[in-house]
Amino acid sequence: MKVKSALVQVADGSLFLAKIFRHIFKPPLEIKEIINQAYKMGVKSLFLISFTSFLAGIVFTKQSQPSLASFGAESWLPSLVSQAVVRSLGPLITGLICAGKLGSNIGAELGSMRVTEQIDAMEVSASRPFSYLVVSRVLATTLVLPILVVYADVISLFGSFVMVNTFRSTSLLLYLGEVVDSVTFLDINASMIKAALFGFAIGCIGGYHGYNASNGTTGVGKAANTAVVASMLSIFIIDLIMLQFLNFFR
Amino acid sequence: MSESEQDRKAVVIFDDVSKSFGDLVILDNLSLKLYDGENLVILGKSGAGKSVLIKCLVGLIKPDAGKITVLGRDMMNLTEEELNEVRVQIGFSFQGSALYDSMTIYENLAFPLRRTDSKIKEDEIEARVRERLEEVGLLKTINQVPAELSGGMKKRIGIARTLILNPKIMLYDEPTAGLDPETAADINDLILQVHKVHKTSAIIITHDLSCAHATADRIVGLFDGHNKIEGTYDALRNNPPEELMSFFDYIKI
Repeated sequence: MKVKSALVQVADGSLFLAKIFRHIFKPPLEIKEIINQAYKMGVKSLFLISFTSFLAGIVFTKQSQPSLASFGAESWLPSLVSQAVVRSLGPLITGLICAGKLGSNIGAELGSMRVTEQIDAMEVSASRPFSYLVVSRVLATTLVLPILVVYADVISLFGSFVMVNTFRSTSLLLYLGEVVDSVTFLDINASMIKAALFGFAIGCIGGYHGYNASNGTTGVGKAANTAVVASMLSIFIIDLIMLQFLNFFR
Repeated sequence: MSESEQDRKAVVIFDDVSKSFGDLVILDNLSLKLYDGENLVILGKSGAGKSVLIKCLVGLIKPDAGKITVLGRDMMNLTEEELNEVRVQIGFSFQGSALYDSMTIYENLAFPLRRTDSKIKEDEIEARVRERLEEVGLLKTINQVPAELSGGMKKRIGIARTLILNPKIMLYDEPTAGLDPETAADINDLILQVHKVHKTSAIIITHDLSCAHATADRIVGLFDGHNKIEGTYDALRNNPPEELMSFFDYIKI
């Protein structure tokens, strides 16, 4: 019975995904709502991302320094940190925070609209709720994640610079020069694509669970919770797939 | 069916409609008609399938079998666009009002207009929103949010929102549920006013006999998935069928 229910959910999810794609390529797009959602999502996540990225930069630098120092390669610290941050740490931290914050937000918001019949009210007045509520949020998360990743990278590298400065005095310009030298366009592009995929997954999963919520307030809680857990899982899976894929180009 | 009924144009036709959820049969080969310009009350106990019936009508729930015709269109064989063309002609007032709680009352009423007519100008939207709010006597709430309103006010705003698209058919799902008798009477009056002013045909789902009494041209009793009982309020009151005995006994008390 559980296998059957899981298969039904996979089929249901696939149809939901197909519906999203159909609406993305079928005009009109909800440009105003996409920008509105992207702005709200970006602003809401900014503080948390700033804080965690800064700390992640400090912690990673602090933990890497002794190992590099034992090889006498402490000067490689900016290069090591920048590659780790741009390739993996930045997108992963941003993705996980957004999965928690935006995934739960989308799941709970749409879930509560579903159980209070607000989505039904939109549907019966021919207001095309799927496009307005789901597709706009999916596109907003897809657009906003890469921007947040760039921001998180910068803050992380700044945190790292602060830490590096406690080991050896170095100028910001010199530090940045070492960072730029060690990061390639492939790293940046791959990071952006990965971030966009994370955003797409968070939007789709949050949208799916919220839009199909049932059973009153319990259903809303379940939708938010499942959206977060599934989004986080999907981020690790996408990260792994992208890593394998990028190995062909490195 | 009387001769006069045969002469009248049916705007909604349920033809042997069935719907089950798992093993639970909700609608069992149900057939009924809503005639042009009439207020049809569907009476039944909680869980009788009254709400399922009107949700099938607007395509929110797909029946397992049967045919539903609305304004001459077969609802079972419509594309999404065609379904939306029919839906704009139907106003659905939800039991819990279903106001969009993140929007102001103005935005609640403006939203369906903007979504169904991309060319409509803002001043026209404002004029229509004000007109509808005035009609339900709640223009003063225009800048408030739903959380600031009472249950009765929400119901009135919900009705105003359904009227914004000038529907031909109104569907009221338990319009007086959870309201005090005075507010319920106000809602009944509003239903009659909408009927008179907008010349709508309406299906009113209720288990409240006073609502049925005040608003019905004709009553259909929905029991065990069938429309077992049919008649005017007075006819049913004077000679209540077994299923409706408890309803009328309650009124006597």
